[in-house]
Amino acid sequence: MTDTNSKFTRPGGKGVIHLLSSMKMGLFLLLLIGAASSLGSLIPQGEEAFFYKNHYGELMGAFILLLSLNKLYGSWWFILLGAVFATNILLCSVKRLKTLNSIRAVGSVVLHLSILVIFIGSLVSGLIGQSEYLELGTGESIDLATKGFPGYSLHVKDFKIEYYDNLEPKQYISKLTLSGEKNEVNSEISVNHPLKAEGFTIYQQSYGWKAKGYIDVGGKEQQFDLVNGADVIVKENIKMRVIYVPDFDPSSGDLRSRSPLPNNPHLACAILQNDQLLAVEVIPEGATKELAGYPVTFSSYRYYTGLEVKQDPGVKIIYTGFVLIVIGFLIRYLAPLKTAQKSEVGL
Amino acid sequence: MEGTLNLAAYGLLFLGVVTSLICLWQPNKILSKISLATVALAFVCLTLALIARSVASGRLPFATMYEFTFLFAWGILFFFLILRTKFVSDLLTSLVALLAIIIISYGSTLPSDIRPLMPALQSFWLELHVITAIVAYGAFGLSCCLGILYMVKEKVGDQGMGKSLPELSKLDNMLHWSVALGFPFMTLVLITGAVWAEEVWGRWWSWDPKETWALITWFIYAGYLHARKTYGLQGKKAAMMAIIGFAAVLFTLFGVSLLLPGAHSYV
Repeated sequence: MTDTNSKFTRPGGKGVIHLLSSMKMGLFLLLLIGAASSLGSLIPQGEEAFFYKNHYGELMGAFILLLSLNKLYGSWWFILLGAVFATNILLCSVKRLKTLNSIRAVGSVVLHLSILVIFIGSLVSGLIGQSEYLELGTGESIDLATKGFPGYSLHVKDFKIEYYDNLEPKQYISKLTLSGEKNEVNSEISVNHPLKAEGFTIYQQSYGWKAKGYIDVGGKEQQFDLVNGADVIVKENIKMRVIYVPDFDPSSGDLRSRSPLPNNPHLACAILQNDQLLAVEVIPEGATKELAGYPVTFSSYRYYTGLEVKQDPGVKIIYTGFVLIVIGFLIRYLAPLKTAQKSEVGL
Repeated sequence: MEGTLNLAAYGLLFLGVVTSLICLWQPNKILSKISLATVALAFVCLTLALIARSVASGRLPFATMYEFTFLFAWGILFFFLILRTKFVSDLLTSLVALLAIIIISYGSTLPSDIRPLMPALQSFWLELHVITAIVAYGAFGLSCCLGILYMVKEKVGDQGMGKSLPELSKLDNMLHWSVALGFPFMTLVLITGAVWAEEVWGRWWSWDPKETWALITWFIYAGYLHARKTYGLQGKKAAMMAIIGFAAVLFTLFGVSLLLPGAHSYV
C-alpha cells in the first residue's frame, strides 16, 4: 500500500477521498471495528430491553439501547463502519492498480478485492436470502409457498438415526422429495450433507417423535397427532398432554426411556383440568386405557424431522470470495520474485 | 499409552525449562544441547501420544478442546524446532517449553475421554479448520516468544542472557517471518470455519464470541503486516503487537470458552 502523499491534506472532496484511501484510515478502521466487535462479544446480544436495565443499571442500560449495543452487529453504525472499511479497501486497491510492478502485487490486489466480494455476498444474503425452519412427520408434505418459497413442495419419505455401538447418535438422515413445477429431486440429507438443488439448500437440523391416537369424548372419537410433549384440548378447561417413551421400562415405571430405540413404545398421557392433574396412564402401542372417564387409544408413532429450508444466492458469491482469497494468497506468497525484490523474502 | 506419553512429554518439557534456565544463568554448551534434546524428545512423545489417541479412537484427534490443547502445544514446538535450524537461544528454549507446559497443563484439566464424533463434527471442513489452526497458532505462538526475546535483547543488549540472542534486526525479521507465515493460515481458519458452519447449519457467520475473537485476532495481525509494509513498523512496537496478537489467540481459545457463552460449544 503506497501512502506517499499522506502528509499532504487537500481541501474539499478530494481531501475526503484521499483520507478514505489512506492506510492510516484502514488501520484506524481495523482498530475501530475490532474494538466494536469485542464489545458485542462482551455484551449479551438480542435480549429484551429490561434485561439490560436490570443488568447494567438504568443509565447504562439506556445507553446500550440508544446505541443498539444489544444488537450491535446489525446496527446502522456498525454496518456503516463496514461500508467505510469496504470503501477504504476498494480505494486502496484502485490506487495500487496504477503501480503494479510485480506478480506478487497482483496477488495482493486480488486478496483485497476478494474481501469486497465477500462484503457484496453478505449484502445479497441480507437483502434477498431467506431461511425457514420447519418440522415434518415422516410421510408428510408441505407446500413451501406457505413458507415463502412459491412453486415448490417438500415431502418427507423417511427419517432415520444411525447409532454408534454405545447408542450415541452417529448420523441423522432424512429422505426428501423436493418438487417444483417441472422437476422433482429425490435426495437423502444428513448433518453436514444438505440438499442443494433448484436454488434451495435444505439442512438436517433437528428431529423428534410424533404420536397418533384418539380420545373417546362422550362417544365421539377425537383424533390426535401430536409432537412429543404437546397438549390436545379435550373439552373446555380440560386438556391432555402426551409424552412418548420409545423404550419404556415396565419394572420401574419411569418415563425416562431405557434407550433411544423404539423397543417398547408407550405413550404417557396426563389429563389436566386448569393445570391440575386428574389422571395419568402409560399406554402401550395399540392399546386403550381410561383416564378420568375418557378412553384414550395410542395407535402409532413416528419420527418428525426438523429442516432448515434456505434460498440464498449470496452464499455462492461469498464462496467465490473465499476461493479468490486463497488464489490471492498463493500469488502473493508463491509467485516468483524479480531479482530486485529478493530483499522481501518471507512475505 | 497416550497418558504415559503425555506424562513423558510433560516431564521432558519441565527438564527442558530447568536446563535452559541454568544455561541462562551459567552458559554451558553441553547443557544447552541437552535442553534442546529434551524439547525435541518431548515433541516426539507428543506426536506419538496424538497418534496413539488417533488409533484408539479410530479418528483424528480434532474434536475436543482437550485434543486441541495438545495439538496447539505440538504446533508451537514444531515451529520452534524449525526455527532452531536458524539460531539457538536458551531463552527461546525455556520460553517455548514453558508455554507448552502451561498449555498442556490447562489441557490436562479438561475431560479427556474418547467419544465418537457427533454428527455435526463429521466434516472434512472441520478437519481442515483444525489443521490450519495448528499451523496458524503455532506460528503466532512462536512470534510471541520472539517478541519477548526482542524486548529482552533491547533491554540487556549483549550482556548476560542477551549474549546468546541474535541481533535485534534478525529477531525482528524472524518475528515478521512467523507472523507472515501464520497469517494466511489464520485466514484459512476463518474460511474453513465459515464453510463448515454454512454446510452444517446454513449460517456461515453468526458473530458468536469465538468467531468474533478469531476475527479480532486476524485484524491484529493484518494491522501488523500492513503497518510494517507501509510505515516500516519494526522494533519494540512490532514486538508488542506480536505479543498482543498472541494474547488474542489465547483469549479466543481459552478465555472465550471460560468467560463468554456462545454457540461454539464443542471447543
